[in-house]
Amino acid sequence: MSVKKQIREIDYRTSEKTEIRNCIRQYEKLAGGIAHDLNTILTTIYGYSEMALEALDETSEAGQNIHKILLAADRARALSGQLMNLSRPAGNDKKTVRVSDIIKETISLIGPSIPHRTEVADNIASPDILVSADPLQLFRAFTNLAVNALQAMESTGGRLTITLERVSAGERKELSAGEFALIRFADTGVGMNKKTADKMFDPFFTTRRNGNGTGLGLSLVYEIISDLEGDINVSSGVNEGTEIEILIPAITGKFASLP
Amino acid sequence: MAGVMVVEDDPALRGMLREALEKRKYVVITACDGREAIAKFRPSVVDLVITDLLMPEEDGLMVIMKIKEIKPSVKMIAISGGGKAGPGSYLLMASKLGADLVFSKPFLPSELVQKVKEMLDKH
Repeated sequence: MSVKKQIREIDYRTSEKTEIRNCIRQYEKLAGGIAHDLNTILTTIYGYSEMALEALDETSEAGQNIHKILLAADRARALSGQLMNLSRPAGNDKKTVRVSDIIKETISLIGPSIPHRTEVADNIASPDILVSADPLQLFRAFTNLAVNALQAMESTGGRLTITLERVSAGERKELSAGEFALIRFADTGVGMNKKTADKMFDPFFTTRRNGNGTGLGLSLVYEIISDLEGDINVSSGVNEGTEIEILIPAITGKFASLP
Repeated sequence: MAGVMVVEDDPALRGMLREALEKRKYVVITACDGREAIAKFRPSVVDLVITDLLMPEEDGLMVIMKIKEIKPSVKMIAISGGGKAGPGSYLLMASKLGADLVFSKPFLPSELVQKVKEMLDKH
């Protein structure tokens, strides 16, 4: 059976996109509220633990147990930080961004976590293409996609290629006008069936087990790209890898220079 | 001994801060929100206020402004666990409104108490 036959393309209708975005905003608000309450509770835990340690021999069993409580509190603090990150609104600090710079930063960040037998490469056809975006949010989106691709190759190894090119309306049937940065994350990992691919941008949907994934990463990617008036296309097949294309309107004409 | 007011809507954290400060022999007055803080504030007793920012009724930003109006020399520490936009933006606002120090929750209460001591020793 040809690879092409198994490749699935997912189109999201406008109403579904709006529904997903509204849903994500609710979850962001919820994440911020939970983080706020968790931070308050943690301060109390830290305080009473410190007071207990003052009254105890730190090397006693009780003292050691309090140290374990403090270590657990540190882990909860890290979790709260992640929740707080999820609650930050997207796209508040838009500026002119060179997309190739963000791709390079993404590859640099994921470098230490690239698993054994896995390669990451870039293929930048248009190094100077500029878009209007919050660089941190774009970096978050790219990092999420790259990490997801690495996780899809965790057991088998493989290759992630991140490509960047400029496309114009005439070259793509779904584009009506203008020029776009096309960023493609293509991995050779385990891929997805249609059921999974259809749900991959839904908040809290995850295929990771044992609490290893929040299921919010890709929904955030979706929101970040939507905020940029961009689009996402996904092609995947079981055991045939995944290709995620991101289209973001490019800055053209006299504004196409970095400040 | 110097007086410290703790304004915090979470009863457990409010109680813990009271205990931590009383152990250092400070006179502690507590309030569960901004409105109660303004009502209980005594310029002759309170030298330093520790206030949460996100609270029902009057919030911490209002506490900073109103108490600074009543007693400009009072020292002010803002604490916040953040909301939708994270603690940074509220604490920045608190700082602009006159807080002398800001702490982002979760923090180590021993560090807060140490800062209280330093600020009141200079007072």
